[in-house]
Amino acid sequence: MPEQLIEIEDLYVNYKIYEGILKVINGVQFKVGEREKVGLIGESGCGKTTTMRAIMRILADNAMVTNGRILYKGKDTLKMSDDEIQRIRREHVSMIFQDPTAALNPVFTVGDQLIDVIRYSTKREKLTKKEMMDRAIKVLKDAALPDPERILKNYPVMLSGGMRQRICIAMALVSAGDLLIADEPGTNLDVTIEDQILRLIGRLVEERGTSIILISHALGAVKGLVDKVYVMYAGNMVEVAPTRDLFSEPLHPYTSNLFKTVPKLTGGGIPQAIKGRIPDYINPPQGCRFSSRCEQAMPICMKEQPPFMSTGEGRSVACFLYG
Amino acid sequence: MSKEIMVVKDLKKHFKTAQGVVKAVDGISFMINEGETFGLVGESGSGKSTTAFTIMGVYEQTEGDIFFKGKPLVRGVKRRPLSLKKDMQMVFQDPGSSLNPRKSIKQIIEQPLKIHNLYSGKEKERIEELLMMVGLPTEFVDRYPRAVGGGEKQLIAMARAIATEPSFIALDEPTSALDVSMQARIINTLLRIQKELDLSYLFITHNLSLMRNVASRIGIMYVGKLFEVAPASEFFHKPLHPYTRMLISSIPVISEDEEKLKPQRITSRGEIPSPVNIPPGCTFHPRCQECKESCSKIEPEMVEVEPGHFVKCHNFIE
Repeated sequence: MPEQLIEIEDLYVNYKIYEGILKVINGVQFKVGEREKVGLIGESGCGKTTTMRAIMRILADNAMVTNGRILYKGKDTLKMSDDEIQRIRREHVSMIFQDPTAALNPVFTVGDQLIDVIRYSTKREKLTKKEMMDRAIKVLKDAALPDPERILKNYPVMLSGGMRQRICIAMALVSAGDLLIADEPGTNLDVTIEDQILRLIGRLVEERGTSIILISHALGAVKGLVDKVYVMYAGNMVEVAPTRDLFSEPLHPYTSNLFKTVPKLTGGGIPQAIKGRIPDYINPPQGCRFSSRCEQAMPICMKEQPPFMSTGEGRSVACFLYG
Repeated sequence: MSKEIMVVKDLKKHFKTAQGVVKAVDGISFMINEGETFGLVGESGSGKSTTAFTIMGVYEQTEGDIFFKGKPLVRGVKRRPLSLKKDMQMVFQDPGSSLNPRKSIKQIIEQPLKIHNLYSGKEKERIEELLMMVGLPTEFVDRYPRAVGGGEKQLIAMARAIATEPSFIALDEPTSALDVSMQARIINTLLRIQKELDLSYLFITHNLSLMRNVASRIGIMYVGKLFEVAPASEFFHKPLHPYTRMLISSIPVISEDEEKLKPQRITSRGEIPSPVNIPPGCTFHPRCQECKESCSKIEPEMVEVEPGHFVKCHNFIE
């Protein structure tokens, strides 16, 4: 069993909005081991990004963590001082966002932005300007960008979407000592470019021995890269399993339904969508949040929330069908 | 042999910009049969949407002809007769911006009925009928777009498109902004309506797995040119063009069966070139792994390799 790097225990996050309180994250359990590659899948609006932002402590101002612990190497990040969490962001954990265009500042050159990141993340090494420059060129090369010297002088608008995402990856790698969180890194890009980006991330993570959390709703992309996959639905983790097992034999009714709706390359039409929609977060249903859409729902599902139970072999599932 | 509803011949659309002429669509030819779904795939910037917009008359073509039901189409939507506009409709990618947020759903669907003077006096019944056809509750009539979900907005855009009883609809990435489960619902609705109303679709998407399940024939575009046109099953089982094979092998899949179908892993490399500065010869040659000397000099012709299967590559020219 690898050492646990991140351990989220029973996390609850609410958002306060004009209409009331959105009870979004509803008791999430989540673990990432050292050198482990973890995938996180689920429909949009199910709380994937909120969970990740909670780890980095970069939630929006109207978000409130009402319960739970987020342990980073055994220390609760929610109770850390600002200095401590800053150090983690600077040196240990880093995040790649979905939209590389929004993640880069359009009025500074790539070099300015990258050197800034290097300056802060290597504060204790006291590098000279020249050394920082060399390191910037090195990370751009690592990210498979041609002609790094020229790119450092370019503004983000002068580069293509794929190149911008590579720069974001380069920046993230500078400060990702232990963990890289990639939030839909390829979603805005073309398939061939997405394929290149994912292979690049996979290779770099492997080389540096960092852990990764890959969030995506492109299920196939997740399948190719990670060791285990968490499935999230409406603020709950509903299933976790080693990648191969999950795709060959999904347990939770939501997971199997989700897989069915993905169009297959082999053809054969697209089955009916899962009926209904994600529940209202202001008044979430009692019991299992998937129960109103589930074809196998039992009376107990409407009353109690199923616990996230282990079914052995590294799998856990939150469903009364298995308990 | 089924009758063709649309024939596109050597269509070109060039844009003049400060950086030079952008050849967004550069000499493409294809046809769409009655009642079929013709799919256009390709990476972003390959000219798929420009093709649809030019067919619909939003842009005036630079060169080439478009025939609809045997008659040539006038360039530019302004000069097209109302009856023609009634017969051709379009659904856009982002339903959030293609529906007017200040109008109720009733007003949105009513607009085409008013313009084309259809169902006068019976608009209300027609709107309810249209909503039912796309599988939405009739209570939606008094709501505003912001009060319904993204997928439902797209269904409303669909209801608006079929309001005038068209025979041809151009669908430009209708599900790209949506989740897989919503995508399944939209696609099933589209296919059902197609059968019920005997529609022909021009379906544009960059999602090849989706295309496999929707289109009867597929054309693949790369920087303004068509590289391969084939019936859907042949397109996936026997892809010929190196670009098609690279694209298919890049698709992330979730089952073992699909994995087997993919061509030998061709590692994708390079990026789509700028349409201002197109490489000479075959546009794909800088990224192609089977590039020969002639590829960088001479542009290959489109040849029919098997009946209905066209490919534009030097490998298939004797």
